[in-house]
Amino acid sequence: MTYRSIALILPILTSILLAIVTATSRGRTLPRLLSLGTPIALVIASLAASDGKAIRLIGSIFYGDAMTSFMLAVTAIVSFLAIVSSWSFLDFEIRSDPVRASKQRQYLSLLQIFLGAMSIAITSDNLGVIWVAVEATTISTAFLVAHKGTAKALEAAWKYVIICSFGIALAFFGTVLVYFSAIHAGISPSNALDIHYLVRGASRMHNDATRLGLGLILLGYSAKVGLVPFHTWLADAHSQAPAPVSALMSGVLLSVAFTIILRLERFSSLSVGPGLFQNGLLVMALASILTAALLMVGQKDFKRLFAYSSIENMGVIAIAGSIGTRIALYALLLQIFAHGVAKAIAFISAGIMQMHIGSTDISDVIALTRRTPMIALTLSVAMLALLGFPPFAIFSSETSIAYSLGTSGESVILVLVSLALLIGFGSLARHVGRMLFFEAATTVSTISISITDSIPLVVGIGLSLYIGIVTSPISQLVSQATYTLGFAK
Amino acid sequence: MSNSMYTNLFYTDAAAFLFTAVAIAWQKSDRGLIRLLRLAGVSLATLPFLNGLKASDLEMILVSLAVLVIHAVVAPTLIARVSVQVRSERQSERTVNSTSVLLLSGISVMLAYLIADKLTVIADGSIARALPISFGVIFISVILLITRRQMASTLIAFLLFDDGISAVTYTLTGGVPSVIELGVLLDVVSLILVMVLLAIKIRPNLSIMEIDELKELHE
Repeated sequence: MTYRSIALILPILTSILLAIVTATSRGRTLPRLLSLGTPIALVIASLAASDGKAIRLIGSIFYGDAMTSFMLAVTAIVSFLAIVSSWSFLDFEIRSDPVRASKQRQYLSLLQIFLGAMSIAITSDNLGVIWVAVEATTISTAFLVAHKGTAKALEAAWKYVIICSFGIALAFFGTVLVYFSAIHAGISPSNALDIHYLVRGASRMHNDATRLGLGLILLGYSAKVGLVPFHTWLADAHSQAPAPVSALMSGVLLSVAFTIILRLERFSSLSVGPGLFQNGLLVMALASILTAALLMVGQKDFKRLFAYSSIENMGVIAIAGSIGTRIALYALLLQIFAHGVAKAIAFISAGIMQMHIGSTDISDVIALTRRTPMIALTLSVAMLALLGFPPFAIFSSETSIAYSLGTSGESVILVLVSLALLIGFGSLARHVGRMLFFEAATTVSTISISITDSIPLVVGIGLSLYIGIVTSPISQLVSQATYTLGFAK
Repeated sequence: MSNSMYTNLFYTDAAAFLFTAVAIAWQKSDRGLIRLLRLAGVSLATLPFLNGLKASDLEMILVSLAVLVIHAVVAPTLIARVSVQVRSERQSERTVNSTSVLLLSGISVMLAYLIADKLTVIADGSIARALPISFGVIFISVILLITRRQMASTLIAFLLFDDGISAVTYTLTGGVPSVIELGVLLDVVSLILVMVLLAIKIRPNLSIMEIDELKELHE
């Protein structure tokens, strides 16, 4: 066992240890500071995985390459922002209702389990282990979504668990069929769930079992990605979860689920042909972008607005996945990174507004530029980044995806996507613009933001600009990750 | 165990599994549903047990014991908590009558034969012919999910859905590697626990614990 392989599983070990420590620790400050251990471990693992050739541990149960490194880096950044913003959320909760002080332990512990489960899903090459990890993310986040204990939060958690569990059960069904097909193709049962072995034996797996299995896997994980028709849980869960949890779910969880589909696309292409994943993704992506854009038009709740923007973004990412060219995949990964950071800023800002205003209604939030310049600034930056303005990275990623669509001869799709994005663009700009600049006839109080509140927002803005302006070393990591996906046309 | 005896026992158990699923779809009483769910868990656990016995594989026999504990004891007991908490004597509300449910179940089993036929052609070994039964149970669980409105019924449908998928595993491949099998079992029981806890927490907000009552987040 080398230091690199130990580093690869460090986030998992750290999160398990910290889940126990935070669940049992009595103090208030120490468990919060200790929670940062997992983002640090994620950075170490990301650096280890990016360095040279692939890492394998316990067969292929744990596997690290540039793609792993990339997703670990995104998770590290968004989890750091989410954990730091959780501190002020917990303080506010305790101030509002001292009885809920005991909930801090549960919250911090569940956050660690969530991060640990995501780390396993990122670092494993085994479809069975990945499935168990993704299901574990549902279990841990269900309680986080229900954290506030209100009727709405419980209902959102219930819907989230039901839709995602049935979706993920479909993915398990598909995994079993692929496992069967792999054994039938002569792959050893101990390796028949490893993605790399499946890719190697793909040419011998051209049969109905593989086709049905992959179709079910695509549908199953799409439920977790939040693509239409499985999108209904997303807005409910994101709007009811504490804002830092929404940031993590929107910024990382959806992308982690999508990268599982992405990692299987080459296997699908080599075994049953490129049509299954490409057409499946294209249909769900188009439906997602259109549905999200239309639902954003008359939106009244700003957290739901950001949630629908996430569905739209996952649709754009899925479109890039369906194109499958090198440029599209590069843009896809860049979009994952840029959207993760920008959406984290948006949700954290939304959480602060909710704490101070006591509502998530867009109509209740007015004159932010005058009342709280800091939140007005962070919200503006997040919106400009999400809307794809230069110099933010989404500008180049979306332009590249549009270029890829155009050069692939998908002009009709390009027009449809552009129209839907235009509707989403207008809705987001109109709603956020109202929150920033609309002046009421009555006097409104100013909102003071603490330093703790500001830290994740300032760091987030810095990172958003950095990703957009400074090309290296992020572009290098994204390029390497694109290369490891290996199915570029 | 001789090959023919193993095949006969496997077929008989698979048939019992399907029969239990149909009975679950038809059953109205909550207590009856839980009893049948336990029976389905026993039938399911017997499949890997027979596989283990045939292959003289102790690991597989131990897995079958774990399946028995989770699917026949722990999960149904947890689901029973929701039923008992909500209404001990009420019968499950459903949107279609018994005859229609039985008819739909029959159609779904025929559909399962049509779909599974393509896979049984590829599969080696005679027990793969029992595959349509597992598919049938999966389809029946979907019917259950669609036709029943109670939260407890959703949990029962979820467990039956999972039972069906597990049965596919035991019929087609003799089961996935044990580590993953245990992970899957742990996940299933945790999920059921989460759903039960949520249902119990939601209970004070609703009058009859029907899914249609969840309207707080409607847009």
